[in-house]
Amino acid sequence: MAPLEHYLILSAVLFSLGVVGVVVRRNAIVVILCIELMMNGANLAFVAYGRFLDSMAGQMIVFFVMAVAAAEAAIGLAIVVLIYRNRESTDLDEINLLKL
Amino acid sequence: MEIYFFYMFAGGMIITSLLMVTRANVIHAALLLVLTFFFLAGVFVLAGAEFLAAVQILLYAGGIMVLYLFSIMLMNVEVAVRMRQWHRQGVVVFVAVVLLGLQIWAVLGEVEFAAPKQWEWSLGATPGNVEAIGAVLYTKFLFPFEVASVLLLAAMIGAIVLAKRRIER
Amino acid sequence: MLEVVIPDIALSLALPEIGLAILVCAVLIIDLFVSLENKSRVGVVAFVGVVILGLVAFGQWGEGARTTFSGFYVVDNLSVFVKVCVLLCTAISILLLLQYAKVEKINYGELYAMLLFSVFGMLVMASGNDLITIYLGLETMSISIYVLVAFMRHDPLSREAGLKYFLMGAFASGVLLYGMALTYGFTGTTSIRGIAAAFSGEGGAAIAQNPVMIFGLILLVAGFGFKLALAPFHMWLPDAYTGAPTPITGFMSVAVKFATVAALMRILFVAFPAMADRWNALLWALTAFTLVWGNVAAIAQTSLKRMLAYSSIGHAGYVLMGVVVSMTVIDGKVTFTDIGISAVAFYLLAYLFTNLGAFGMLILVCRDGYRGDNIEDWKGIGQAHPWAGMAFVVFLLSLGGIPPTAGFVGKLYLFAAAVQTEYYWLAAIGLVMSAVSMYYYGRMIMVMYMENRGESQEVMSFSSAPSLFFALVVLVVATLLLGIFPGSFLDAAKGTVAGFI
Repeated sequence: MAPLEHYLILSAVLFSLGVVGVVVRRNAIVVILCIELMMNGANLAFVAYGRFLDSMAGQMIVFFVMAVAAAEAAIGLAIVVLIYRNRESTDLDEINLLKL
Repeated sequence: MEIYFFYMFAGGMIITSLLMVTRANVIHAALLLVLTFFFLAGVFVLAGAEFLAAVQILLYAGGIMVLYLFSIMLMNVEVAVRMRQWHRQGVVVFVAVVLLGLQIWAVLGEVEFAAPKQWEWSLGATPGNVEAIGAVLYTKFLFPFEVASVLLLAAMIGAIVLAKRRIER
Repeated sequence: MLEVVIPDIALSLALPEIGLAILVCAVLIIDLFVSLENKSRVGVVAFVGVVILGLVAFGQWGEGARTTFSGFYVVDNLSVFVKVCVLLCTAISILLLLQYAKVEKINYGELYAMLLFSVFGMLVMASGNDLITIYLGLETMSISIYVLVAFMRHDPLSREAGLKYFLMGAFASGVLLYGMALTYGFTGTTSIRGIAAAFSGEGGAAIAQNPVMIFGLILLVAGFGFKLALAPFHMWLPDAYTGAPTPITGFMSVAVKFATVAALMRILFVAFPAMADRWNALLWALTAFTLVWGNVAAIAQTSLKRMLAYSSIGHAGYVLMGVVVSMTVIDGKVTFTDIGISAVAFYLLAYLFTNLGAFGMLILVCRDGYRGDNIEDWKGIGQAHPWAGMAFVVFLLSLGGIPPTAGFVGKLYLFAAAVQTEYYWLAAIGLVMSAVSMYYYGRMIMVMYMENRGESQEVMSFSSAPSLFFALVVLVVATLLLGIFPGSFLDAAKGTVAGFI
């Protein structure tokens, strides 16, 4: 059984990689994929804490977070498809009609 | 013995997620994320959440990522590969956030956590993961369960409304 | 075999949410039988349902805090106040939406269904007694609003606004979730009361000092800060508000703040009083920053909708000021003053009528192919359409905080609370920024009354839809009523404190 710190460091690494991806990448779909990575980092933290605190709540939260992630992925991809259909581009820097 | 599996899964996860964040080709990034989820499922098994590991593979890797791949295939991926993939301030931000990650790492190393209760894996002594989840999901966690069902309905209708080509009557 | 314990559930407490879920299904089914020209009937059904649910929620007032669903769901005065206000905001927004949806060709039953789904999320957030409940409610609300913002599929501004709002909102949810994970790890529970108990139990003080726990708290506050559009997390708001359909913008600007501030107050006041000095300092800085940035940025705007969006950011700053001044330290013990919490509640109520009214005026001038967004186009409207001009003047005065409007009483109460709890600097910043805001609201009034119609100006015609007219009359009357006779509403705001702390 690996000690708790290992799990937490792993989840922190996943989370920060996701944050880096969201901030740096220009392709909208890759940004959404990195948000999924962030949520999985949090999921791992929940499961690890649940195991070490002997509490079922950690695993149950992961269930609900997976449902939320599925819903968000569906909506996000629907919006990206909507934009792509009309502009042939998923590049975030080119989508700038609103900036004054 | 278990600890070696943990290092293998953890190393695999870090490598694939790092690759995923840096790939120019979106399909490569999506497939690498699927691989990350597989390694994550392995880590879930090691943490005692076998059912959750199975759900992770079925739902995340098998459902959500397939959705992503279908959507990506609706769009012209080749054009995307030739474009610039990174914001101009990319390097500075990258360095800043990596420093943040290292800080988290360092701080975590200082914290003391109690050792976990040792589970004996003998049959009948402890409930399995599925049984434990089932005992609480529909009784204690009933309200979040129902709210999640409304959430999924909302997402379903919302996605159809946004992405359907022509809404005829 | 594991023992399965079936808990006692008081379903009657959750009647607003259950009723709303049934209403959504009814709206979706009725939508199937209504032809495209008559879709407004679906909106009317939604309106009637929301009014009935508002009365049902109102009936839960005043009986002390009751929890059910194994402690995940709580009904107390704060949750009833928020629910009634959110349902009121929804009802008025549906009235504003009925005509607009026809003009902009988005008159589908699913529009009202998504609106009701977001309301469901808000009701769940208001009653959340656990981090999971609050998170699920937040996500339901957010996902429905992402769809609503992008609903005008043919308009590139709307699509872009939807994408930008989605990306920032999903990122904020991820950050919030990780903060919740760290909180769960250190306190062993996600229940709000349970977290408070963990901090006050043995070893609690050590947890409160732990740097990783502080980092988790910062992540929680940052996640909520994104949702409330506090500076410097507000970058998404002007784009999202400007691109979205105007009734949806009005609905978003009010209802999302109600639900998010209620959830934030519940988490910070009940679960984290042990770390109050830390989050209070953080919120103080965010509030000051928000007040300054929102009001100063609004000065340079030439688009009316964008100006109102930045003014919404400023008003979020005022609401947060109420949250910040609620915390005082008396005899070394952290207490939350009644006057601060009731100031937040009353200010939100005043803001409801005022902001919906301001956006309602914008909806009044919408017709096919024209949005009335340019401030220059409003020149001389005061003489040409006297009643509409007067209504807009009332809303602008209320936004700026001039008597005898609701906004004035709200700001008076807020600044009184700040001075009484000795947050002098924050009160000063608020007062200065209020004066600054009067510049751009006043400029709008001057444009309407003092300037004459130019040659090349678009002629604005005002819509004559009865639903719109009725909604605006109600809003004007309410704004003036709260300003001239605020007594019973102030008592209601004071009543929200009972059972909450």
